[in-house]
Amino acid sequence: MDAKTRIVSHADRPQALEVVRAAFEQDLEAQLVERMWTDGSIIAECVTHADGRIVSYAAISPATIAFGSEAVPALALAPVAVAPESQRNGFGEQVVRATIDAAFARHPGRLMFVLGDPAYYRRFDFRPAAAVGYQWEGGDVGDAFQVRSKDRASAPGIMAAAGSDAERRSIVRYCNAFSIFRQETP
Amino acid sequence: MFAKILIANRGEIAVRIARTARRMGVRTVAVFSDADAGAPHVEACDEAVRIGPAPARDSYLKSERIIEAATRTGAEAIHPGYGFLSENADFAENVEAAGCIFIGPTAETIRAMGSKSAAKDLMEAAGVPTTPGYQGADQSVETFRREAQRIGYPVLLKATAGGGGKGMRRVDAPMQLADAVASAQREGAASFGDDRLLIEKYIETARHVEVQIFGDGKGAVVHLFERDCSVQRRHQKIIEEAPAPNMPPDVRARLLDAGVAAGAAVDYRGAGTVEFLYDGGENVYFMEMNTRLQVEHPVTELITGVDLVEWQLRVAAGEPLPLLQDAIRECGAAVEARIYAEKPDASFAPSIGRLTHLAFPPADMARVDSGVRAGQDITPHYDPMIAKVIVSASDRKTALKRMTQALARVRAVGVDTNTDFLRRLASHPAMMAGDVSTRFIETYDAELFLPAIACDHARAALLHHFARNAAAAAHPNHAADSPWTSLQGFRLNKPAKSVFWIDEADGPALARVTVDPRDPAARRVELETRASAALLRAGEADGETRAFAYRAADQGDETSIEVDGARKAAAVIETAGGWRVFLDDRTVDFARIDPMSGARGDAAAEGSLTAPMPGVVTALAAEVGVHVDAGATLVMMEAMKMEHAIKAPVAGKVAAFRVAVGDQVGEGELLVEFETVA
Repeated sequence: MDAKTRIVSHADRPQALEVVRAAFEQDLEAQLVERMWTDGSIIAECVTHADGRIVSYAAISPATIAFGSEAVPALALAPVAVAPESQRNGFGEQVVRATIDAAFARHPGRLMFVLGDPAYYRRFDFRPAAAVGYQWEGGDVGDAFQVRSKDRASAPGIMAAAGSDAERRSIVRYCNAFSIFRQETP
Repeated sequence: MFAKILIANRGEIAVRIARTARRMGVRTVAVFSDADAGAPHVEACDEAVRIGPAPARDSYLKSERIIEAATRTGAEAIHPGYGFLSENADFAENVEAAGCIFIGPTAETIRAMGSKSAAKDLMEAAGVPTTPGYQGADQSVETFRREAQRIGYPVLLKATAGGGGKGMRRVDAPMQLADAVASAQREGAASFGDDRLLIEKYIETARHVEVQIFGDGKGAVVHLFERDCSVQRRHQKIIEEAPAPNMPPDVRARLLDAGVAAGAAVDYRGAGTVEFLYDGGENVYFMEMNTRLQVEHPVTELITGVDLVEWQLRVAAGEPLPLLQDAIRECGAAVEARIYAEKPDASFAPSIGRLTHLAFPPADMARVDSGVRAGQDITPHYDPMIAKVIVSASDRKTALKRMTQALARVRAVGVDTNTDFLRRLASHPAMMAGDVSTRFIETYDAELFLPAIACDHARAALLHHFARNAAAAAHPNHAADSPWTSLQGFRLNKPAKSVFWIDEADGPALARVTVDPRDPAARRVELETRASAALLRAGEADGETRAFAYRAADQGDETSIEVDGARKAAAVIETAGGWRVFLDDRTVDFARIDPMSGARGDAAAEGSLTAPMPGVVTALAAEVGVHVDAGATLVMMEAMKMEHAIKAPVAGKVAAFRVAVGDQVGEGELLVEFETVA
């Protein structure tokens, strides 16, 4: 099947939202995407077209790595969505790769985080972030919270330097658009 | 030789160490903080280990994490670079205790030399000449005041554990002493974890010279000649050279002997630098010994042909010194200039931001040691040095001329740099004459601090850039997003006349560009100054019109611009607020102008009570509601590893503090609400 991936244009937005809504079987992630659009908090987003329609969508937004009062900018991959009827065709991988490349092209020096299945995200060179000293602001989610850098993720690259002393943990905060998830669970 | 080493540093020095290691077939491990995940030093190494959050105290200064990273990756030795842990004796000890080799001297030597007062005692005993001063245990202000009186003002306060100008204050009069002691203690505590100070005679017209030594730790110590690092700003070196100019041969011989004697006194191992004050006549005084590789080591490498990092690795691996004294030769002269992201016109305040464009002179013009690249942020967390440009030649004057040319090819956009300032320094007649001293910048300040004044070459380069882009805009693939495309652009096969706005110091000017009918390569420019569109419409433009002509020839990214028979190389790079024009002799910024209003694009408000840069508030120095005089310090903040005082612009009182100690503040953030007293 001939599939083309490209940066999201204004005209793609309604269909992209539909894909996100259908993939997650709820509205929250689509609300997240809309909120990121209105906030302007998108660093990169791509869609893959196949058979004349959008089959997958991925976005990367700014995040911050906070340690005490210090903060450095980072990237967060979310959401990633593939239309249910088009899953298991590699459209997810295709759109994620393009989105990661686009984000790193803009911010080569930043770390990128993702929350998701390690078995899936390992192919994009993501590695468990807790082992390197990063914790998701939402709490401990085990290996589901993952990190990579632009170039060195596949090398011995980012690895834990010391044990698990909590003192050196940096907290990773996603951008404000993600607050809609917090409102859901009071 | 080692199979693998860990480089416990970042930036240019980490990149530079990795380069030599790679050439020697030694694998390298980088360490990095969150702010450096994609930094060049990480990519220069074979492996990389995260050691912590952005602040240095949580990453590059965390010795146990660095040692653990070395153990985990199987690195046999740790190279500390300069700064950070390079002169930390405990670190050196812990590295060795962990079964690794510390590439540097023994912990004992570092400890002895790390305390300026102990070092001075040791050197006095070894017969090395030292300056008058006080270095006692009593750290009370009263004692400092008494001792300063005894030594005679001006005096220099220094952090006992210090280096690199941190925790150092010149005090000219007794009334400044208490403030200077407090602030030097704070800086000493923040930078070195040690607030002890010593005091010494400030030598008015002094030169800073230093001897590069190398020891094998088994009794052999050689020197690799000296460097002159007299030209400093805020006690920080910015131009260094080797050999020292205008130094009588007998003084030089005594200097080099004293350097070797200092090394021999501690049975020195590895690369070290013995710093001296030279009074310009017959006397040299020991200042301190730096037990590490210096920032300015490349000038020594260029005159001796020795790779000092290679020597460090060989000696650390137990090999003998590669050359004996008689075999170490010098040839020619070398100069280094440090390019910083800073604003020379604003007391060298660091300039924070993203480097959107960065280009260096080609390798045949200069050696460039850099650890940043375009796209990277200059953060408040670390030293804002962008690169070191190093040149050599058969003689000093030629080397300085080459430096001036090389600096013209350093082109950074996104932050301000000291490049123009360095260029004026390198080409200054007193510099050319070798008439250097630590007061060089104060002495010649009127000639060194010049505003970036536009010249017709700069205007022509900008107009040529506009014209070229307007021509490109006619191409179907070009995005027509420039405001200039809406104006009359150059059009092929049409009588070419275009009109552009140019931001001038006294307001927007209108430039009408026409092709010279007799010479299609030449352009005639009519410049109407103070001519905003609104004023023009109202018929109120009060400007004047003058004309000049230019010829432009493109060669790749460079353009040769000729005005009045003088040719200059130019490059124009778009910035966030307009364009930066790089010429052979200056850098000029032009703001983007709204063609309709003619107003400048940037309207940066300047207030003295806002944070001049991102940083952390370290002290609130005034009380709310209490009257203060103009110039009184209100807030202290630490940014880019330096302390900055936010002072009262006029007499008045603080209505409210908008920040608290420990707060992280952004650039331009309001710190204090200040009321003037009527």
